Amino acid sequence: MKFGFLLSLFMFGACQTYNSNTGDAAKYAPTTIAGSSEFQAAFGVVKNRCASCHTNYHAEWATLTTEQQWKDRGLVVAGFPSNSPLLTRLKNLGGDMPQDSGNIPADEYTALNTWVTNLE
Amino acid sequence: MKLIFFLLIALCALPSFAYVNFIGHSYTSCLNCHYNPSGGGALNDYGRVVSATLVSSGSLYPKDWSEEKIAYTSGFLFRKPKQNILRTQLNYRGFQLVRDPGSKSNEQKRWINMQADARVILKLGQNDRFIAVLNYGYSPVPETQTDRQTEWRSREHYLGYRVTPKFGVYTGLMDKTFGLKVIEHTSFSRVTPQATQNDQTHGVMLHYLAELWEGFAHGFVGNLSQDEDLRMKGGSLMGERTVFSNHRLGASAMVQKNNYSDLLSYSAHGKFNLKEGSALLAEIGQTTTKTKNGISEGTARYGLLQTYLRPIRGLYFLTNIEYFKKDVSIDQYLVRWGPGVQYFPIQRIELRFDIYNTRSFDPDASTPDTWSYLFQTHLWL
Repeated sequence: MKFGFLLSLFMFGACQTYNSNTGDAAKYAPTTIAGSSEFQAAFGVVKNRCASCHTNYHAEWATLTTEQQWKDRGLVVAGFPSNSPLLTRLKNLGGDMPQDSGNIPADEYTALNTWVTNLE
Repeated sequence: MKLIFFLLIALCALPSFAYVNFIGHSYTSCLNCHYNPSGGGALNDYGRVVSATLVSSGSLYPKDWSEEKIAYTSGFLFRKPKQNILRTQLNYRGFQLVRDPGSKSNEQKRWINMQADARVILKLGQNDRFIAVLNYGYSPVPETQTDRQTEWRSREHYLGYRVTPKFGVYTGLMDKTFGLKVIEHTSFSRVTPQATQNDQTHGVMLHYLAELWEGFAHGFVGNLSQDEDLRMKGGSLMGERTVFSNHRLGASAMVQKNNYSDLLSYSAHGKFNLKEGSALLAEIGQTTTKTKNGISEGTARYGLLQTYLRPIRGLYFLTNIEYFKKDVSIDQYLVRWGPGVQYFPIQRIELRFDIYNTRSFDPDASTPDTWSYLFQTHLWL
């Protein structure tokens, strides 16, 4: 009995095992989002540039499918891109993201900036 | 705070795999020192002797100790095993990671307990013909994942049977067989094909060892402790051939997919013996990703070049150079490089210091370099 318990502990365990694929569902599952066309464009950038690299914190961003959720978490400040962590962390603005590449392309940065600027 | 924690985890090099550079000691095959023929994980008796003698400095032993006497102390708790069936091992790795050192506003320091494993190996038959390996231990999980993820995991559990000395069958939870299993598991060559220290998978691996070449075929169904939709199912092939007596050239291919993405990876690598324990390791490869939602698709390419220079026994000077292009269709890439020192003052202790500089090359923009350093302690019993 003890052996069986130990063996099952070794082989499976009650919890998930964390690895490179832990965030795949959040990153890659088709997502239906509501909101402005600017938000939809910006959301695509976030999924592609942020959630695609990281399997935890940023993967969670892929689940923020309403503009209000972004505001509530303090990730964006409506109308103020330069006060929004989502943008200020970007290398485009002197931050350190994305870690494994340089600036995000100008059109994608513009999509984020436009969304936050026009956000109410 | 969570973000900082994540960054530290994402950036740190997590030494956990095999010491591929020991080709510099003329060990072309991992099977010499590891139970798993693709390397990593538990050391066999011979591997422990090698770690106690050839690899570690002998300067701290009494002068009248012979190499044979040192070898006899390489067993668990410094004892020579009294039986030949069961082996136990304990293994710990932790390190201090400092990112943006010297920066008043951005310097981040953190001690990370990266690995704490307990291993049990059952071995039967001549030359360990049958083995059962259990490896259970601690591995940190990002804070945002702790509601469903466990920090305690089975890192390995597999059965192995050498049908003949040349041919073996292994089944259970093992590392994916692909490319150079370098100890820096966050290197681009491990992250890109999803073959890091946390990416073990259940499957069956066939291994063939000939005089001048070695081949692996690994079919896998993902880690069964994950939700079914996340499990990466697929297979890999890897071959290596000895050239010019004690160098090796190899190639790998791997396909894997889950409900969300399909990955196709292939790479070529070389392991070169520079004599007297020094070695040069090189790998180039790429991974093509297709996703079910159509975003984050593309082909990422990477390169790895490492040198290990051994001026005296126990001491290695390292140089690590990595290249990474996240998307081959975009004219933008990264280079991460840095020197390091690895010292084994005595058996069971490894100290390592690495500096990493990451630079982004982008024709359209200039971004500041990223600097970090890492001081690692590795202990084993």
